[in-house]
Amino acid sequence: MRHRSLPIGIIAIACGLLANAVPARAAAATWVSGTGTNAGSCPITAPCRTFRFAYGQTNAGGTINVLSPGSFGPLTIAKSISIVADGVEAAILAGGAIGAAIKIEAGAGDIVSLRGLTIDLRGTANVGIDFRSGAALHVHKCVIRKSTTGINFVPASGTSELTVADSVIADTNAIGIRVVPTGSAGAQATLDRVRVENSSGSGIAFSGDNTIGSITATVRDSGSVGHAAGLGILAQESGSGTTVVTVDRSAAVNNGAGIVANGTGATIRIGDSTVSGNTTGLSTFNGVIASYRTNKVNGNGTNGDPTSTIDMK
Amino acid sequence: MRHRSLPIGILAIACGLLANAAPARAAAQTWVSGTGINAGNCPITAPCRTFRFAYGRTDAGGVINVLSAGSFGPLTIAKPISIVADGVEALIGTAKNGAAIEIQAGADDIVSLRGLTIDLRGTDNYGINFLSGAALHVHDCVIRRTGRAISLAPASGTHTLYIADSVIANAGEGIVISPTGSGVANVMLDRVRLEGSSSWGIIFSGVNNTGSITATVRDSVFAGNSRGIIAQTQNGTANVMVDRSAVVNSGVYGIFANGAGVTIRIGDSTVTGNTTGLSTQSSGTIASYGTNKVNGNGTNGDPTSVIDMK
Repeated sequence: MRHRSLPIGIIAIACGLLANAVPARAAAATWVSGTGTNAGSCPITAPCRTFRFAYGQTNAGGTINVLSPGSFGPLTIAKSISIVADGVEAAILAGGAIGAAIKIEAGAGDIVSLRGLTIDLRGTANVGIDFRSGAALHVHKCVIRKSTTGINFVPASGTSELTVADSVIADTNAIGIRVVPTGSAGAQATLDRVRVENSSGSGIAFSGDNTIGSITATVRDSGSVGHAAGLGILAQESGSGTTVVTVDRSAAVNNGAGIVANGTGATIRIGDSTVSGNTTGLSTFNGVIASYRTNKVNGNGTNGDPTSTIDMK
Repeated sequence: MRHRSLPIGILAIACGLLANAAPARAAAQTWVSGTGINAGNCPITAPCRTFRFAYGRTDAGGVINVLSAGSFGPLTIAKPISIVADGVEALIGTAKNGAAIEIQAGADDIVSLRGLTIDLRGTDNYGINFLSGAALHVHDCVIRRTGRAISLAPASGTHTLYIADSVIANAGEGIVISPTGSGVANVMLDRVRLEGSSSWGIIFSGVNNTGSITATVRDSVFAGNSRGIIAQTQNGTANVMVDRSAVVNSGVYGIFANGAGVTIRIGDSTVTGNTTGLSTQSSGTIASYGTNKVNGNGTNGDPTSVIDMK
C-alpha cells in the first residue's frame, strides 16, 4: 500500500502544478477591483487588481469592467477592447514605463473605447492617453488631469477616428487635446461636451503639419478655457493636406488667443460660439476663420475678425 | 532562561510600539469611507474616516478618493490636491473656521473638487472659501444652505475658478467673486444652477479692487434668487459674458450692472419672471446681442447697447 500510494500522491501534486500552469482562458468580460487579486481570468466573482493583468485575460473585442473603486495602473492596448467604469471610481495615477496612463498601439481595424476613467498623473511627465495606431478611439465620461498632453492622437497611417464626449481635460502641462497625425495619416475628430481647462500650454490643437493626410474635426458644445499662456482652439496646416475644423456652440474663453487658424490649409468655421476674455480673440496667419455670423466675439484684449463669412442654409 | 526571555519580550513590545509610532508615509492616493477609521495612510484596504485625516496622509499633488458613502467633515486645503467622489455620496455637513472647505494654497497650487455634497443646514458658514491658490475646479458638486456658497476673494495675483455641472441652492449668497487690492479673478461657469439664494445668485464685486474680473457664464440657470447676476465695480473692471443662460424669478432684479467699469454682455439668454429684468446704475453697461428673450418681468428693462455678432 505504501509503495502504491506514493506515486498517486506525486501524480496528484503534478496535476495540481499542471492545473496552475495552464494559462487561464481569456474571457469576453473581465472585472477589476481595487481590492482584487491578479490571478485567474478575472471573473466577476474574483476580480483582478490591475488593468494590465485583466487586459491579458480579455479577448480581443472584449470588455474590462470596473466592479468597485480602485486605482488600476497604466496600460498598453494593442487590440480592440473596451474599458467601462460605470458609476465607480476608476483611477490611473501613474504612467510607468510606457510614459502614459494609456498607450494605444492597436491594429488598423481595432476600436478602443474608454469610459468613466479618472486619469490624474499628478504633474508627472506622462501623457494621459497616447494614441499611436488603431481605427478608432472613443473617450467618454473621462477626466484627465495634470498630465503632459491630455490626449495625444498621433496615428502614422490610415485615417483614424477620435471621439471625445462628456469629458474633462484639465491642468495639463502641455496641450489638452492634441491631434497631430504623422506620415500619411489622416484624422477625423469629434468633440462633444468636452471641457478643456487650465492647461499650461494650449487647449485643443489640430495640426496637419506632420502629415500629407488631412484632418476633419468638429468641436461642439465644448469649451476651451483658461489656457492663459496658450491657444483655445488651434488649426494648423502648412503641409500638403488640409485641416478643417468646425467649432459649433462652443466657447474659447480666457486664453492667450481664443481661436487660431495658421497656414494656408487651415480652415476653422465657427457658429453660435463665444470667444471672450482672451488676450486675442480670433487670430489667423495665412489660415481661414469663416464665420456664420452668429458668434459672440467681445471682451477680448483684441477681438479680431473672421477672415470671411458664410451663410447658413 | 527566565532572565534572558524577559528582555526579549520587552524588546518585542518596544519594537511594536516603534512600528506604531512611526508616521505613516504620505501616499499619492488615499481613500475615505463612511465606515473607515482614521489610522495609517488610508489605503483602499483600510480607508480613513475624514477628509482631514486623509489629507494629512496625501502627498502634495495627490488624490483623496471616496471609496464608499459617508460624511467626511470640513477641511482646510493648503497644497495642490484633488478630491474625487465618483458615483458615491460624499457629504460635508459641518464647517470649521467658517467654511466646509477652506483653500489657502500656494500661488501655483491647483485644487480640484469633484462629486461633493456640501449641506451646511442653514448655518452661516461658507461652502468653499477660496482664499489663495492658482486655480480651483468645482465639478459635479452640490452646495446647499450655506452663507456664501463659494467665495473667491484674492488680494493679489490671478485666481481662476471653474465651476461646472454643479448646483448651488438656498444659500445666503450664492457665488461671491470679490477680489481686493490688485487681485485678478477669472471665472467660468458651465452648466451651473443657482437656485433660491436670499441675496444673489452670483455677484462680481470689484468695489475694493483695482484689478479685473473676467467671467463667462454659460448654459447656466439662475432661478428664484433675490437677485440673479450682479456685477459692480468702483476702480477695477468687470467683464461678464452671459451666454445661453436663464435668469428667472428673481425677487428684485435679474441682471444688474453697476459702475462704469462693468460690462455685462448677454446673448441667447432668457430673462423672465423677475421683478425687474435688466437694470443698470452708475454708468454700468448691459450690452445685448439682440438674441435674448426679455419678457414677462414686472419691468423688463433694456440693455444699454446692442452689439453685433461676428
